[in-house]
Amino acid sequence: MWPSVHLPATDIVISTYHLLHVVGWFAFLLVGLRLTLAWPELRHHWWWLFIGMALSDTVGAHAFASVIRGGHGGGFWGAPLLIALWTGFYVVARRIRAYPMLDVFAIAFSVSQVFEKLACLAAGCCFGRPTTSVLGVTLLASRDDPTRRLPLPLCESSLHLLTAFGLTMLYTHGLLKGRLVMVLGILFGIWRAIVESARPAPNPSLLNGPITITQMICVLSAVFGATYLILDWAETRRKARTRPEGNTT
Amino acid sequence: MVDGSGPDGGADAHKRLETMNGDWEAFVRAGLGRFVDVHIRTAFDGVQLLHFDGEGGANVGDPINAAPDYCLDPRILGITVTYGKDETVSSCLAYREAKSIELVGPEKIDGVLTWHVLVIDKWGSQRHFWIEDAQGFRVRKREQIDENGGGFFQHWVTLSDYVGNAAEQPLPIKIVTTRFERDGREISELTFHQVRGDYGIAVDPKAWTLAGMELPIGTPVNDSRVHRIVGHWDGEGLSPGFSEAKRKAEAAHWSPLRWDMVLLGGVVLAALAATVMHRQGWLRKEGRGDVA
Repeated sequence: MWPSVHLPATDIVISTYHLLHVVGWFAFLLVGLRLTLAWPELRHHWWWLFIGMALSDTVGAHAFASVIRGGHGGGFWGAPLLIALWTGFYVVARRIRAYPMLDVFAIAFSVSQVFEKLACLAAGCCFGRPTTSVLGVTLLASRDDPTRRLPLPLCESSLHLLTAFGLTMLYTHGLLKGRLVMVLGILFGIWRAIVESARPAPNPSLLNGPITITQMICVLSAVFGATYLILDWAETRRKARTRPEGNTT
Repeated sequence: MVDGSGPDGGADAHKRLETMNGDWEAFVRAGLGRFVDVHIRTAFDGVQLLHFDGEGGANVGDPINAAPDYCLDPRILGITVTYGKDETVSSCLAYREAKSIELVGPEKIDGVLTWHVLVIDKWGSQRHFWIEDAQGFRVRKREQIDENGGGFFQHWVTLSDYVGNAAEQPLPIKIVTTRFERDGREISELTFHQVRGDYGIAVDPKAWTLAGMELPIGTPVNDSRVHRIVGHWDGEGLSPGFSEAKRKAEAAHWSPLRWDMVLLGGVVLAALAATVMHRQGWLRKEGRGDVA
């Protein structure tokens, strides 16, 4: 039985994890609308990203997990991947400029995931290996199960919060303009690959190798982001070298 | 382990061990043998017993005649001295058909409050249990005294160590059973250590089959019920011969793709995709209006 919340002044009882998912979507929407206040011409796009976020997080994630796990449902990492694909497709197809749209997306996504992973904690999914260490917690969703497990959703939620904080710092200081989504890809790819090593079996491995499919996707995300930033840096240096001296205009 | 590789097959070493009254530690200290770790795997599904001691072949046998080293319900750890496949929690506690069951009173074992219960079983054997006064009711100490008028005497004391609470660690992490003579002299000591225990997890049904025994490819499997080798383990089942088993295992694991090559290829493709995307300028940093 999942933990639930009784909505005040109503007879409605809602699962905590459903509520936290919805809080995550609205956090995404509100952060996006707030950070794009100075660009009113961009704000209507944000609603489309919000719809993509909600759809990715529900039907998209389940469909993706069904394909990957052969019919078994569950969240898996389909939601982050699908929202990233949807946003990438939308931004490229509509030729929306990366700054501020993708930068705001990176921050809003990280903030929404803080709540999404808390939803995982409440739903009893995405947990870590059984442990007898002091870090172990019993699942909120299964009070009859005394097994203590590593609270990976809590760990991931905290890491998303740190990531959101770091990205916000870069955004407010005007650093890496239009490239924060690449920074997100690097940070998220690295820490998620590490976190994945604490997941319990069975965790689909890459061709029976020592790493999982999830870890491979994380590595590719980090490589993609790093390559893009390196090319940016190289281009900036090249332009600085080729700028004619004495050109003051 | 006694080294039997010499010309006498270890006969001399065995004689030396006898002269040392079977003192293995002194035997090893004298350089005549060595201790080895033996990883024994046993599975019993209620019909057949599977056994593999890490060397030689595996054995499939019937539950009556096969006699593996240890095949037990882990819940009986610390509440018996005869760890057999037929032992159950209720048979070890021996309360069924007991001649008497007496609550002796509260006692502390290692600072933990326990209730001392004395069971005189149907054979007249004394079985003392010191049971924790908390949910889980773990047995901290056990004592068994068997004796008859004909001079037969056996006396065992078992002490069990636990960590955490009963919900987290229901089974002892260390169980020491000492056997004593009538005069109180120690005869033997047997210690179990729980190296790892995972509770509340689903057990793969394969655990009770040959696939759960983690046999090396090519291991011969003997069926003691028909007194013959029934095949060689090929990773999924039994093949008639060692070579066939090896070939089948290699064929099953052969793949044109290796994980490291796929990862490397993925990394190259990701870098290439980022380069193309950068060159094409799909992510313009700034521009007029909402488009680049």
